[in-house]
Amino acid sequence: MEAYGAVTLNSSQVVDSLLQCAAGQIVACNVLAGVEHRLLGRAWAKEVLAWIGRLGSYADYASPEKLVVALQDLQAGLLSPTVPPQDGLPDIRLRGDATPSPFQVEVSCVVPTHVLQDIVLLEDKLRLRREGLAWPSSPAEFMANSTINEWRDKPASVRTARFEPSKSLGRAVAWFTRRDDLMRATAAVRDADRAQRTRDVLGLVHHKADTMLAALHFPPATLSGVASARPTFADATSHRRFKTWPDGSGARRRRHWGTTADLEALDAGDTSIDGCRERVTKGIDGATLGDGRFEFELLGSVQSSVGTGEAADTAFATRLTEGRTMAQIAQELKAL
Amino acid sequence: MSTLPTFDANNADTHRVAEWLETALDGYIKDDMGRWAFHPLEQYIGTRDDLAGDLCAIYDSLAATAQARWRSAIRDVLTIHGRDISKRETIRVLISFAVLIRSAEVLEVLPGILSMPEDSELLDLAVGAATALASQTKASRRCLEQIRTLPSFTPDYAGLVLVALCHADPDNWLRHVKDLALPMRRLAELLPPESTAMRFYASNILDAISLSRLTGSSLSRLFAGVADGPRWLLHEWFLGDNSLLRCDRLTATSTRLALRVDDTVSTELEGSLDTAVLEAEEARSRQKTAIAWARGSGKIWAALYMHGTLSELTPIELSQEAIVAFVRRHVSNFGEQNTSHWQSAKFGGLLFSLPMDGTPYTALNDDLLALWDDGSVPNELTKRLRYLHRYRSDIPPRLQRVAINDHHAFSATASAIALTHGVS
Repeated sequence: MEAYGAVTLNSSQVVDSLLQCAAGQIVACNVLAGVEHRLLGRAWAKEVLAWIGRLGSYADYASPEKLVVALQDLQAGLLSPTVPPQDGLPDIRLRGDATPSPFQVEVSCVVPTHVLQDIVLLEDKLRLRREGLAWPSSPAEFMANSTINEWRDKPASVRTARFEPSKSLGRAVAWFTRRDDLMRATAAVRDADRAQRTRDVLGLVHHKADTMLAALHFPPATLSGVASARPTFADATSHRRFKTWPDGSGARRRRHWGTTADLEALDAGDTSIDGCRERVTKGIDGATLGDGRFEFELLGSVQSSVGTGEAADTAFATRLTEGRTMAQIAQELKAL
Repeated sequence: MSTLPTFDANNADTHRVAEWLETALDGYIKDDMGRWAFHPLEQYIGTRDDLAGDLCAIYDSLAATAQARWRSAIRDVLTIHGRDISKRETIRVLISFAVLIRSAEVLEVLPGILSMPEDSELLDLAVGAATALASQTKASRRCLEQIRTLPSFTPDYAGLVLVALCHADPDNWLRHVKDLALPMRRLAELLPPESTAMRFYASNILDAISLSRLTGSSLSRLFAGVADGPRWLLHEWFLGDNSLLRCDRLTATSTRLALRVDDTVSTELEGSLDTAVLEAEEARSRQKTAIAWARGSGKIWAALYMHGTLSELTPIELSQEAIVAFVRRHVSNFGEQNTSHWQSAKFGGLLFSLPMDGTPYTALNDDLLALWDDGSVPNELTKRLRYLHRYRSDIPPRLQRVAINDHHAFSATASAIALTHGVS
């Protein structure tokens, strides 16, 4: 059997390794931006990088791409079974600005429709079934269009459901935006483009063409027991369009909220790609949500995929450098 | 420390994929192994919003031939473990995964899973999968029929399953409507008064079966059955205030359905139409609906005549023999589509304009005026009386009374008479 765990990567090696792939560059740039703009603690950032270095000494994490996987596993608290138990594994989630926490405003989470279907309380699910809700998860379903059109006009009271206590939303973390931001961003959009625009403005690059999306709107009362924070690189881990520091001065003044990267603006090469305000929570556990009430909207299907893959990720990483070379980024990160 | 097993996702046979899937899901769900349960495909896990989505990411990365084996593998795992209560979460994930990749193979095993007792969550998921994957295949029809006859089937699902059945088996739509008549009635009772669900189902049934299947004989059987079941559908299609199907005219101010039914069902139909006439009378004050019928040439013709404001309509389809015009709401360019239809329709010269709301004289109007060859212009009531008198043998006495007093009923009656005599 191969021997693992012999040599821990030092911080300099971690930085050099991360910068060898686009996903790692995105992580590295966000670490640096977080420290530079005092959105996260320098010591804590170094601690996370040290953990990545430690995990990077094991075969399952021993490549630039796999260091990002190591960050994901660190976040999830579930390491490869080939790695021996690690003492003091830190919870790296929600380390950004956590004030005010919990939410004081109505917030929204956008997910594929089948995820929404899964979390609705059975009693409400049956009521919605009676009302003809087929939860279409693909535009290829024969009732997909008629369902989307029908439910767009339903009153909010009909589109309100309760969260099934035994279910959860999100994985290690769940992402939320402000409902008023989302409404503004999609107000002028045709119904047929609503899902696409929502995907773009929230930077949800992984939702490809034909994904049926739904928006879940949570009143503050429902999430009153849920802590939230401005997202950091450690919440985003492998999220390929996470951007710590927004472009606009207004967004920069808002310390409590992060800002999504608008994929449409990114594609257009706009000066600012600021999207909506965003925060994260740990994965939502239905049992912790008061009465669990939330309103949902069926947004329709995403019309087209956006660029993913190494080239697109590299282009985004380059944008995050704010004019610096990767060598400069490396130097500044190593000097933390 | 242990080494992780190997697995070639693209080249593994169905059995090996099934084995790997089952083991991986167990590792993730029961053993808390996280992404590593899916080694060597762990890089896909955690990339989407849930595990079913992650599995889609794996599936999307496979070659087409491998994808087919994966679909079969899902079916096989569900076949073996579909009723194993300890595998409930595995079953749930696999069904969601199957729906996301539109795997028709899963339809073969859903009814078996649905026989799992006392699991309403799984029932909901499986019924949802069967309706989502409905298509015009034997497996789909069989699956939906089996679901409909399950002891655990509840009226909550009646509407969706009915629409799915009509989509999967449109030629037998009437049978499905009747088979689900009782659950649909119960479903209607469960819905709040303001619900638009029944209308939604009626509309989707139309989409599923297409207007060309609304033949005279099928509609006559639907009419014949109003007393014991699918009255809701009749209401949503033809009689309600905002009924989906309306008769029409080029002016877009009226619509028409002309319906021919066989003599063999005439007796049964008469009672049903009587009910409909009563309803029409009730609606008369709202200037919405009037119904007329007439008899002649060995055929019975019934004409539903409805009046309303139409803003949008779908293309009209002409059935070979009887159904003349259906006009759906919510489609634009009514005038253009309708003009085209009337010019090409078999009965185009006969089913047309009725004198309504100040619209210009039309063919029927000319026909009416021809009754007065002395050149005088009769008042409206005189005109109706003389016309009805001329065709009194074709018109039931009850309807004559309605038609004399109601402009729309008269127009419809005249339409039916013209249709009867003209076509025969």
